[in-house]
Amino acid sequence: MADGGASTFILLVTALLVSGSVSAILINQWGDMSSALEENRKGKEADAQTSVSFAGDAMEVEYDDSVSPNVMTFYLQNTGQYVLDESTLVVIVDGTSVTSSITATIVPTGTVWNDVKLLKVEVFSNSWTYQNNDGVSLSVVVSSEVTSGYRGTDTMNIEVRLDV
Amino acid sequence: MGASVGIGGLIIGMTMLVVFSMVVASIDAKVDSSLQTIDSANEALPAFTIDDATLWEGAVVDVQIGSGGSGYTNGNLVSSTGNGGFAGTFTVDGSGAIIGVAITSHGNYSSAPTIVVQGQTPTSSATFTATLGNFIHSNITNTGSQITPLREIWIFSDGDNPTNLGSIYPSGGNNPHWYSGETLHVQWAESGTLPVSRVSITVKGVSMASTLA
Repeated sequence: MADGGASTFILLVTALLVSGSVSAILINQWGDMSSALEENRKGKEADAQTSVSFAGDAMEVEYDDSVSPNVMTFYLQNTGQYVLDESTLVVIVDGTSVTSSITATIVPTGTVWNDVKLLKVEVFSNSWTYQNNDGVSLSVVVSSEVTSGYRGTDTMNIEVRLDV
Repeated sequence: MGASVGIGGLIIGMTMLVVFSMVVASIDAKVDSSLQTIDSANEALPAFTIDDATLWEGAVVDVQIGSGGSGYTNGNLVSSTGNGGFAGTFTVDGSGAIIGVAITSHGNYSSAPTIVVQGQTPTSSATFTATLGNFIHSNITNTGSQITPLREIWIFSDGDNPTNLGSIYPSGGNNPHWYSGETLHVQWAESGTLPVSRVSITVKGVSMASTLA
């Protein structure tokens, strides 16, 4: 009986040790998984709250071919919840990136591109041969300011007509 | 010994329950958060119409006080020449001299009208100089379900010269909004290059354009 009692006690202690270890591993693993999910969620949330749209008249995008380089001017509106970072602007005109030749100005004058401000974008190029009423494919990629450690990104694509 | 086994089983069971409840609570929080994200991403787009849009090229855009006169009380200004529809108000100082003018209706004229005080007999008369310019009038209707702050609405002429509706609409309120079904009569001075042929409005990324009459 005494042997039986000792065996049962050993089994109990072993069960407790095993269950304790398993619990510790489970909690640890779940913590890691939860953390990864949270990181992923914050990234997704940043993307969902970041939005940019074309503003103005897509049928009349100003294009000045009387100066060199030629200038295309259009406006963007921050339609998301996060403040956008105009310095991250990437502009693609008819499939060609012109990011190194743009000027972005917040309208009205300010330093924060939030949902009540526009961004005036002037794009310069020497290689364009566009004429009045030409259709152009415009793509813009922009990122938000870093919010809660994350930066959201949004892309805008639109077909516009140039007004020389 | 039986009691020890029972207690041991209870401890194991409790441990498992704690782990299980942590998992459930964590999953629940994630689902709530994800649903909120989905909800915010599916916000309805604004819907609106430009009912009409007219360019008046002879609107009174400025009235300068030449002489303030004396013996006036706060009152109204009208045009004594033409029937363009100008109207305004003025304020006076302690001596009854006109010190401020506000235009309430810009009207439309072929030449600058003569502006006079309506219905008062002053000690000495005031004089004014009217300046004509371009004004766009438009009626716009919110046909959607969204209530939009006017400061998030932008008006363009020929795709340029963005004007914020919150800065020009005389609602008198703080952070006024455009409610569902509401029609706004919007008017603003057009200082850009003439002729202007189209006007467009952008609301939260939704743009609509109309040819000017």
